[in-house]
Amino acid sequence: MSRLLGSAWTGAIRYEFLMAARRKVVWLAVLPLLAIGLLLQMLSPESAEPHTAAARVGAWSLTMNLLVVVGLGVALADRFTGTTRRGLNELLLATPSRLAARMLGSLAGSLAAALAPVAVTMVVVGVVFTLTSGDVSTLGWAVIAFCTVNVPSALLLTTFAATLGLVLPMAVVRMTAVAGWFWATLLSTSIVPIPTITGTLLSPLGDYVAGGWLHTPTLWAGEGAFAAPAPSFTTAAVNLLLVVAMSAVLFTASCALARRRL
Amino acid sequence: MDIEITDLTKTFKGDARALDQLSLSLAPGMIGLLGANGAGKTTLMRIITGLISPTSGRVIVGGHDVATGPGRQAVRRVLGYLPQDLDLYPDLNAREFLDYVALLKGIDDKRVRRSQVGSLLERVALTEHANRRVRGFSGGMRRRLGIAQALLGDPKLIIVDEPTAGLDPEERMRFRTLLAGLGGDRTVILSTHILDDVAQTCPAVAVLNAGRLAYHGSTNGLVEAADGRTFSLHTTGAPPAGDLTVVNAQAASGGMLYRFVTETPPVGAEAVAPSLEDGYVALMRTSRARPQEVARDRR
Repeated sequence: MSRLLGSAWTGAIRYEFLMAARRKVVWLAVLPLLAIGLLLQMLSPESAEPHTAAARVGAWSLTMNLLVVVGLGVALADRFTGTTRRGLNELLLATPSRLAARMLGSLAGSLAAALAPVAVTMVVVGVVFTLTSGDVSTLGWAVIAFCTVNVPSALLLTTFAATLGLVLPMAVVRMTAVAGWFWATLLSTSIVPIPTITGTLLSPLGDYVAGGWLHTPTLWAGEGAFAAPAPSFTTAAVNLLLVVAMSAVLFTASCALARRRL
Repeated sequence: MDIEITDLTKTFKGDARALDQLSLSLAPGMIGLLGANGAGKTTLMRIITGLISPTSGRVIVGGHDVATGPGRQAVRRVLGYLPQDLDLYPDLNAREFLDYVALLKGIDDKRVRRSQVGSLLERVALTEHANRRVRGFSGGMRRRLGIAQALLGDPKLIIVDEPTAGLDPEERMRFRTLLAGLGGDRTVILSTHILDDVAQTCPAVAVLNAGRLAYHGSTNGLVEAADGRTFSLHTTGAPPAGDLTVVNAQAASGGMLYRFVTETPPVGAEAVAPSLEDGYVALMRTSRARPQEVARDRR
């Protein structure tokens, strides 16, 4: 893939990672939510219940998704418009690098930086559970939970927010991202009288994957108003594929929108 | 690298015509691009770099047609561009910024990148600030870093848009020295409002007026356009009136000394040797009077 996209992709990943890591707004948006997530999870009575090691790290990854990912979407909403605002767009366009490669690198690099605290948390959780349970597979489950629950959710919300950022004012985008995230992950149709995708195969919460692969007690998976089969190995795979596919569609749309803005 | 521009027209929304049937041939060397605000300079440079497409006409850069995708890519591989409003990444340091642009320019080899970045930082006198974040750079330092990124990959075509705007005199002189050394076998297009920059760095100049070519030739040739039409007049009374353009006015010996360009000097006016500024004013006067003829005559 790297060879296909060329050095622009490598450069964008490396330096967008650095820039995101050096931006205070990323940490201001992510770290407080991470702290709240840690506190909630540690105080949760569920965490004391005798689930399997995989289920316990799955519960941690779901908490990270519910709280931290939304901050990440808010902080990275300007990823595709940042260069336009800084007047760098012309300079970048005058290089032989491809727009899509630069945008993909920008998304991947900044997402990697912003997700780093979540990754560290999940690894630490894996290590602690490994030490307390003696089950060495827990660390592996923590890594799997991070890769299959946290990364796809963060990818979808960030791509959604960054794509909207190409057509709407940033304040509106950030509010829409927060509202959209809770609409898609928390507001079940059993609670609110509006149609939502919470609990369906379209929800990016990671509930299906945590329930189907890690056997974590689910929050809403299977309780949606439509397309809501019971969590299983297969439905988890379908949910993961749908989330990745929606991200890909949004990214393709963002490339087209960015080209139109030239 | 030769640039051949033929019958180039660019019309924006609202029927605003930025370029109007412009034809121009540029050979290697430093070329100053002059013109008033809205004359079409930036539009021309944006078309040459492939950032925007012309409404009609052709631009061939080194044999590549910038209207085609492969042509644009080929031009961008040999292009160094310094846009007018360049606000660099504030969170990167100078070395990181250059390395990033080098990667975007397709310089894959790490050793080559490191060597080029190091030598360019030295060339623009930023070596000692190489590891400082761009956020803390002055306007002049940012401009020098901007020209360093334009030089990455040893481009055969360099386009710089208003590079000295907003710089203090010392930075301007430093930048001008830097620009003067860029020519050689390269084609360097320097767009500016500051005639002094062109006078000191560019042996050739092209002047645009209302999207048309008003002059293309040697810088000295443009100065000569004001030969016999540049005068000065010292007066304690009213400023000189009539069909003339005042180039300069300064207090002198209890009165005012006016320098102006005219075909009909007032009584008491003395002929003086013209400068590039006088030549530009003389050309603009002629060009406004008969736009088509001037361009045709100078070609």
